[in-house]
Amino acid sequence: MECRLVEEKIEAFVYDKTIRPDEEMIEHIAGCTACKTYLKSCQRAQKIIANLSRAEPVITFPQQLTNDIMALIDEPVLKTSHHQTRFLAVARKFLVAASVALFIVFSGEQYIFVDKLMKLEKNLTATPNNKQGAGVYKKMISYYPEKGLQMVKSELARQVPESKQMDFKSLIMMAGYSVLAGEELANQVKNQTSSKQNLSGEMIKHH
Amino acid sequence: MQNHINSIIQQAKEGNKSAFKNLVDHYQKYAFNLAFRVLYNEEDAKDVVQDSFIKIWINIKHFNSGMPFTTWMYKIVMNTAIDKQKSLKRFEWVKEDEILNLLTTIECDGPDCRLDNEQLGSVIKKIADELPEKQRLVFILRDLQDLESSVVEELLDLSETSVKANLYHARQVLRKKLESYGEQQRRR
Ligand SMILES: [Zn+2]
Repeated sequence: MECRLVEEKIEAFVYDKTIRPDEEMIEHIAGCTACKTYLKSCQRAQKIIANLSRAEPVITFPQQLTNDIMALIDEPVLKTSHHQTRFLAVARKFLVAASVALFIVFSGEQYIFVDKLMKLEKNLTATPNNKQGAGVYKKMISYYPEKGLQMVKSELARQVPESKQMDFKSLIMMAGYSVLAGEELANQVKNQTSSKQNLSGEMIKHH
Repeated sequence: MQNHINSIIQQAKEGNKSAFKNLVDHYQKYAFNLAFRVLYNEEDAKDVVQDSFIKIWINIKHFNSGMPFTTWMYKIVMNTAIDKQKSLKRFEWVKEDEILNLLTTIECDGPDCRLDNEQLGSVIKKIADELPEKQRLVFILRDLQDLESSVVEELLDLSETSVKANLYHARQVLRKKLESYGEQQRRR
């Protein structure tokens, strides 16, 4: 039997406890130093991997983790508050800015860009169902805005290949900041206008 | 037991929060184990568990009881963990010396051979992080999380042959890696 075939058999035998070694394999290994070494090497790797699998990580304060999850689910503040309405407006603008970031990253490969954007749009607007992803983001943004937006960012990042990650990350960060800055400016203008209106109202009254 | 779990899931689907809390209590450990093995550290894994259970709560109405709950949960946890990993910085080097010591500890079977979370995360990261993504995930799910091949096929949308091939290649890479560590250990 060829060594390559024996190696495959060794692999299967070492990792699958239900497989018994056959005569031919045992005979070959007895007379072949290379395969003997291979068997040892496989057995050692298997042992380390099995021990690693048994060594489970431990949650420090598991009860706290449960409580944190339940607290997030109970959070009532986000349902219809003013904060949420404003946040949704920011989120929408962020998405527009993010699509520009994607466009820049994929300039020259516009068909890729369109494909990514369509996928994202589908995920954001679809009705939630068993298929993972679809619709989750929309719900996450409306129930848990900060977490939801973080997820959209990650989803976008997932669409971008490794080589373009850095470009994309800086652009998406800029997109986030410019949206916030724009929002801040709009608010200031709104406040000024309304205080001016109040002022002129007052003046008319006094006149 | 399974009937009991099914009835808890049914109650959670109807919006019963205390039933959902029971689900969280029961399953968070499994979710955490998987998230930890993908992300290699406790804090990130806990974040993922939190986000995943929020997603589960939001979508449990649409959970189809024809599929095992754990498979559905693992799918959500795994995707959330992969997303999380994309947003984390990479390149945290673990010293070679330290890894050799940790591997010696892992290889022994005595009661003193326990690793804490940080050590465990370092070892998994060191041996698995350089695998191509598919191979890494198949390895984590099959060999570390000990899931059936059929579940892994469902979780990763892969065929049986593809799971087999990815696992084979991952184990080959790991074997060679561990072999070279073995040689370094002997030289010390
Ligand atoms: Zn041979």
